[in-house]
Amino acid sequence: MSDRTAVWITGVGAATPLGNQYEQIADNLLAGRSGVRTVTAFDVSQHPSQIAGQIDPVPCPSGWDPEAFSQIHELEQLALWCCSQALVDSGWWERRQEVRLGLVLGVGAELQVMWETDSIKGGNLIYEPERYRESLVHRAGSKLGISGPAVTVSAACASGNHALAAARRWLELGIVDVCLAGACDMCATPMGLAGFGNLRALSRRNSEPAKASRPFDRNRDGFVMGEGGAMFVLEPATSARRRSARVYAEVAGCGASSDAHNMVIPSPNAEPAKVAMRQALADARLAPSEVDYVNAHATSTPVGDVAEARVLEGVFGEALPRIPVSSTKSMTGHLLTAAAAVEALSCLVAMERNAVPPTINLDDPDPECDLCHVPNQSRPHPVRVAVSNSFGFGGSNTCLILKAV
Amino acid sequence: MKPFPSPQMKATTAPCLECDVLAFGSVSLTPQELQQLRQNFKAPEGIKLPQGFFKHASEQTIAALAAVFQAMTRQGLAANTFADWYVLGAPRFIGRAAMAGALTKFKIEGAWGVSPHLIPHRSLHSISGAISQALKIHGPNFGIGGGRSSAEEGLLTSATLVDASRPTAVWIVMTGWDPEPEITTPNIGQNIACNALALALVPIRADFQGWRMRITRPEDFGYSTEPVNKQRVSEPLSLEQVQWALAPMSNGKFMAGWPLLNGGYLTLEQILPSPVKNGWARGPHCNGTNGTGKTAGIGTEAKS
Repeated sequence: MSDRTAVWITGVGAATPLGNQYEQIADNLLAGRSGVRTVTAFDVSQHPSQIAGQIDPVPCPSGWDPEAFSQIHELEQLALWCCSQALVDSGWWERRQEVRLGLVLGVGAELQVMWETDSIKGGNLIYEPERYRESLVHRAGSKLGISGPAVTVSAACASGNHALAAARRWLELGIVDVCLAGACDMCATPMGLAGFGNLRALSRRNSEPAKASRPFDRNRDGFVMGEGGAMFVLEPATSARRRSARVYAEVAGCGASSDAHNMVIPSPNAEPAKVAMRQALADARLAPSEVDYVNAHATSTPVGDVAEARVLEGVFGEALPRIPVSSTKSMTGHLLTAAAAVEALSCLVAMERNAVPPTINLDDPDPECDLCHVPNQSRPHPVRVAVSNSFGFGGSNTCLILKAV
Repeated sequence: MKPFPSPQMKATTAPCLECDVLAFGSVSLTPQELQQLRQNFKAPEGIKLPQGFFKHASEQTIAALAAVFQAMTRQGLAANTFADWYVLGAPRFIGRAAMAGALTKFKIEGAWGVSPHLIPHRSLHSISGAISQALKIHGPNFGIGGGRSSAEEGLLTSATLVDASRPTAVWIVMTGWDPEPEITTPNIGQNIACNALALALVPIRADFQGWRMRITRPEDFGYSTEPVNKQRVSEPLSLEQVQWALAPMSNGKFMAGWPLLNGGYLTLEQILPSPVKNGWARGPHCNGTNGTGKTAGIGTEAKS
């Protein structure tokens, strides 16, 4: 980077349907394991879709009071776990108050989830908004001892990429020294499952949970909801070098656009999504042929997967048949607001392990999605440049490019 | 954009994020007015809203569009001006009434009673998505904040996005009810208003006349490592405070500022043709109805 400071990822914290630790998640991703199962936390007998990628109870971070931790909402536990683990992993935890540490948290339905959980317990929080004095990002910021700016961003399923782009921007501008960025979501609630179910967006393959999320497969019938999150520590390359920090990757390129078409229905015009990808490539100063892996948004919906295939064809052209493409949502389910962040993590795994995670359940590829698939088993492959697409409700298209350092 | 100083270089010049307010629109709409707009919304020339565009929309989305359109009309901005702009929507407690209704219905009817329109139209990203759709803006759109600090989060984030080098401009639209509605009774008849403030932010220009927004670090422009909750600011900046600051003043000279939760400082200054000096004014105390309870402005009454 000649005209601005390169920004590197130096810490990771996550809780996903495939585990709560980086190594465990990486192992499960590359083993092609599914984290999707029947929802048992509440009665799903009347729900059209009864399955989800669910996380285990969020562990209490080391050094925290387990009793106090157990009293806070699961979504806040999730955010605190991911943030604290990322800070510990980066080596900043003990020194976090020596720097201006920012926080950009992607979370789309914080209030809806809080209101619903409270209502189920017989509370009245939704009727008394004055009681909700501080948003999750500020409560978490206080508990983590964060001194810099803290904001919540949401572009539905594209939130995590926007969060990483915003954090990189803050670092470039110098308004923070180090920044936590990523996204968390716990939307697999009774209302969430019902709302998306009634939207006819979810898979109804309830009898085979692990086979339900099947992006690019001819027999896909909708996405599977998931929950979890991933947070990253971003800092300037100069700072990481000075500390001799472990570096996962450079946040090399970000692109974003809007369809401006419909709040729900994907646009028949692939151009805005192509623009987002081309912006990201230009930002990273990379040619399409230099990309080693694409983590597709591909949610396993009939329309969306084909639309993304068209976008990839348009952007990569003749290079496309040589670039492995997979959708890790086949294993995690679709983590909605947190999807982009967890998929960025999947890209880091691919880069670190030099292996492309598979699209599981891809038994009969849809001929309309003629891509260089990685079906069912991971593929050894050197990955120096990974692209992660995330598209969301409201017509948001985002593309993130991570580059090995 | 002038960046904040890095900790290695404590600046002697004034370091800040700066942008000009190319246009702004500010509305305060009663439930009756919102109902009328939902049924018959007159968009400015050149904008054709799809049939039934507001059918499932939140009241805050309707108010947001009204504010954007007011800004465009005031400044004479054509709809095709914003094709690649950012759109940020910063609502406060969007979808609360709809969610309360949905929870009640869910308890009675079960899963089938939950409207599929609830999530797409009553979520944090819904306002920015609707604006991008209405104005055919293909730049990025996303929601920001969601709670009581939405305005502050939105203004900070939008200031970081305005970039003279690309160039990039931003619509930031802040919305919220004041006071929050009693959702156990119908909105109509309640003494409440849905407020919306839309700012079109562009890179600063030497010959600009109008409002300029700055975000600086406090005092010596050093950096604070105090945790957020230990700092002197306990209440976030509200959209109503910014609405007040931008309201027409009798003498047309004005500057307002607010400390931010993170230790930064936001000012709005009216850039006037020289040699008129800008004055300072004290903002209103919050009326308490939105729970902010914070003094809006700083300084003393009109120095000039």
